[in-house]
Amino acid sequence: MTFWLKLVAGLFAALLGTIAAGGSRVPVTPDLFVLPVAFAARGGYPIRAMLTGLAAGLLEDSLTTPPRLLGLQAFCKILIGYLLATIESRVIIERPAAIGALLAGSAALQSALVAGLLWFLRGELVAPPLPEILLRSLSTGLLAVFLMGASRLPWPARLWGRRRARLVKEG
Amino acid sequence: MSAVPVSQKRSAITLAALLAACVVGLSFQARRPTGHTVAETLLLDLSGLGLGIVEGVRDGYRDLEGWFRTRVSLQQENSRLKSELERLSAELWRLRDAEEEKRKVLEKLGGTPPLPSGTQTARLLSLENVGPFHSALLDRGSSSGLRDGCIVLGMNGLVGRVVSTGTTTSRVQLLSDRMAAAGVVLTRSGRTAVARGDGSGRIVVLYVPAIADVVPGEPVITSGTDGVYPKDIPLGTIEAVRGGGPSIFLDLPVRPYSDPQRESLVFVLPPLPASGAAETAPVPLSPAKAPDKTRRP
Repeated sequence: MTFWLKLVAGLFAALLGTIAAGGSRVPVTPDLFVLPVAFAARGGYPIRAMLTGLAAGLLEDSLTTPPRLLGLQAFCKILIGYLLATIESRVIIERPAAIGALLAGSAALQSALVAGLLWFLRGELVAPPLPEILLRSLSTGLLAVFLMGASRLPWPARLWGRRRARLVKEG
Repeated sequence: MSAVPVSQKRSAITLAALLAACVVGLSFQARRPTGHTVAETLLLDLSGLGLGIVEGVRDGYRDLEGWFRTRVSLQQENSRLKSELERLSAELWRLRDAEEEKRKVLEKLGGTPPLPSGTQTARLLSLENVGPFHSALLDRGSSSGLRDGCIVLGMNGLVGRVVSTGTTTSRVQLLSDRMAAAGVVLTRSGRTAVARGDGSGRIVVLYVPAIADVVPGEPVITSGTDGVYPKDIPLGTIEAVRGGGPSIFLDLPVRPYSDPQRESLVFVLPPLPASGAAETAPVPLSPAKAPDKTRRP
């Protein structure tokens, strides 16, 4: 139950982050929706990761300006979730740098998939510039490394230690 | 992170279903530069393909139906022709049997059919060839009942006709005479023509078109249409077929069955009546020289 709560919180955070980034007119933002998908793929559960990718992709599609194509990002997120879960089920990845590289590659793969799908559906090749793709991938990887590192810190023990030290000092 | 075994098959099916659903949903939304969505284009293509298949099936059915009808009609016609062929074959065998029976009866009765009444025998006394005129002298005349127009036959075929009679002799105009002519039939092709002497002692058949199918050796008999000679008297055979010149007719010299220079005894038939010449009964001759009409193509 804790997992699903964390997942929903992650999706909600990605949604808010994307809206905030769009409102602040940041030229290049990391792919925030790939983070919940990667979180769902932990442990090598492909179906869970794909369903999370579907939800994340539909949310991301709903945020795009018209003409929006519902299912475009969902297609990519489903595929990325499956690939991440498959990799997780075969390889043990614990180093934050490796996870960051994996998610950076996922972001780059998503850009390529979106361009290919648009070419297939509309008959014209509309690809974002390469620097934009690289920046987006790099920022996504760095954000993943940061979150991975932050999640490994013993936050409850540190908070409890500070509180106990403050009580001893007061008492 | 730890590796956990998963059901690969179920995952693959789920992946395919989700991706297919996304592609289908996208194909109904994305519009191409032509204005149609991918799904519309695909549906139109499929509709065209379906219509093409339906049209092909319909045409194939029509062709098959036409082929079947043609086959049935051909089978019926073939059956009809087979029965007709069997009937004609039976008729042919019946006629051959009748002809064979007739030949045997004639052999038993004396070999040759009787000559018409009034037929006489005579001897050729002499032949006279003066320029284009060829004639012969008979040893019988009006005292024996001969008169102008009597037909003179040799043992194998026609010789000529009596043109003048004395009391005891008669003059015969030979077919090789320049002024003699007779209506004839080419028995193989059934074509009618005129045979006449060319004045040099030969007989030629005239007025046969160059496109006629005539072969050397084809028998020639009288047609009876000239009112002078009875029909079905053998005259000779075609000696050669010459054509290809400016003339539209063939040059057909005849090798006569009867050579007056080698005939000593001849038959003299009474002349034809003035009218109804063509309806007179044919003069029966030796079966060996009688024309075989059954061999006409």
